[in-house]
Amino acid sequence: MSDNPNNVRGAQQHRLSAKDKRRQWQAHHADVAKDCLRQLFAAPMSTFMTVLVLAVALALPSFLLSALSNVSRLSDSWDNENKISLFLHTDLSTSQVDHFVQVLLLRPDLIAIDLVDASQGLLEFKQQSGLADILGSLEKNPLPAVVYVLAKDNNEAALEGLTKELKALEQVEQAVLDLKWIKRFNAIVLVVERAIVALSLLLAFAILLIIGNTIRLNVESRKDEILVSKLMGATNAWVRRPFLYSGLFYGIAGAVVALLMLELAMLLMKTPVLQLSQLYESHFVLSGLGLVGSTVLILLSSILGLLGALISVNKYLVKLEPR
Amino acid sequence: MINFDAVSKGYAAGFEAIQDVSFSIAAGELVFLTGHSGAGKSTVLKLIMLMERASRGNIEIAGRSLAQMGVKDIPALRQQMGVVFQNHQLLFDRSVFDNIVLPLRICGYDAVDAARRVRAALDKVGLLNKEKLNPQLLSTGEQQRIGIARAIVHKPKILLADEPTGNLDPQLSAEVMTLFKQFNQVGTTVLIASHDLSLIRRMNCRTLTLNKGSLIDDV
Repeated sequence: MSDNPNNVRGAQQHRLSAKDKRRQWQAHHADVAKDCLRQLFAAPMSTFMTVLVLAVALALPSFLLSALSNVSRLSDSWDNENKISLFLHTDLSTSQVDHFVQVLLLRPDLIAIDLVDASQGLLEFKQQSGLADILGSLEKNPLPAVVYVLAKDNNEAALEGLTKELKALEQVEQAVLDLKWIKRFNAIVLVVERAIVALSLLLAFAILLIIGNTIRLNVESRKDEILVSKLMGATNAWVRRPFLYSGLFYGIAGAVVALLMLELAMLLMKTPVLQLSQLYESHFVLSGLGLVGSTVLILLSSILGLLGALISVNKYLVKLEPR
Repeated sequence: MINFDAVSKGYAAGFEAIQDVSFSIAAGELVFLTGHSGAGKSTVLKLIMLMERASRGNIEIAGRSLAQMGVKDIPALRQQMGVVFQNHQLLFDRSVFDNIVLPLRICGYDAVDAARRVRAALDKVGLLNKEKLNPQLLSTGEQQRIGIARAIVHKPKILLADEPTGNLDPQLSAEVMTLFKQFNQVGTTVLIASHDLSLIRRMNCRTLTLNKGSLIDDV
């Protein structure tokens, strides 16, 4: 309120100290927040539907992103990018294989050599595949001896040259540079990641529209109240407050329900993923968004809620400014 | 308190609602604004409340020029005014009490103080027993008095009324006018737009007369 020396009714005029004002302001915030919650619960069905739509729009990119992060976590464990697998001809005798390894050991461009001979390979395969009976009935070991070598130089061109060179050796049937498919895999992950980011942006926009439209309808139904309040000297912030709270609550509720959906999806996938990873003798454990991810999701959703509400109310408030 | 200096308000279509209007209302005065419908009465009130801005000329309210007021200054300006609307603009989604408490909530009164002031205002218009009702259940006259209670509950310095007796019978009109007079007697500046000439004559107050947007009389 402004001070006016001409005020003839000074004694009765309302004056507020800064402290009182702050207290009133906080009380008003609490009142408005409570009012908003009451209104949201007063129409539980429509609130629930809106929250559900928001939750699906939030859960979808979150689910895809956490799936992707799980997959790329898998590829992080493949650190030996300069590993070359040499599959030897199956008709080589054990001594021939040993001799070949000796020759490799002398090469200065290799730093490690690991031989998995045919019988060892068969044993491992039997253990891992559970096909022991069938494999036992075979007359001859169908598996080749494999030599894993680590190249000294991890420059891509040099690695490819070396792979070609090793492949040309008469004992080697096939030489495979692991780098190649790790690179391909990472490239695929990148493409998928970009696609998910694009999808996330689209869905963020959708959330903005959903909340914005819900609040717009809300504004529409409270037009009289807004107009009367404005004519009585309400500030724009005062008028906006309840709508911003509604937007915020929609955002938070949507994110919480989305997190519940994600948790449910994880629960459904946990057992099959565990079985799969056991089959591959991996210690891979499925991880969800985690605490940080969940907080970010709630925060982002709240911001989208506030923003959607702000845009909708401001559109109407601008119309009420004097011309 | 209210100063108009050669004020005109034109609209995009070339229509001038008021032209070159000048008058001055001192603090504590009670003034009527009259004229046929379309003469520009509502425009004058809208300009005072800064619902619209003047095209030309200068308006001063309580010593401050409205032309220099930005959007941010409007709330403070309006908080020192009380307005009785022609169609009373009551909100039918809440009780009489909640209607009247609105300006106090906007000005930031605490709940206990606000409740006391709402009852005082209701008492003043003689409707203390209706505070819990929905205004829709009240008669037109009662609704108008609720509108007045809402306009005066925060003890404004300026009270504006746009056709406050528009839908009322002569007896109710006289009652409403008596209320305005009472507020004026405790120091509130009152400006009432009305075309009810007989009523105005009986009140025997200063009267500004508008005709087709021009001020033709000030007695």
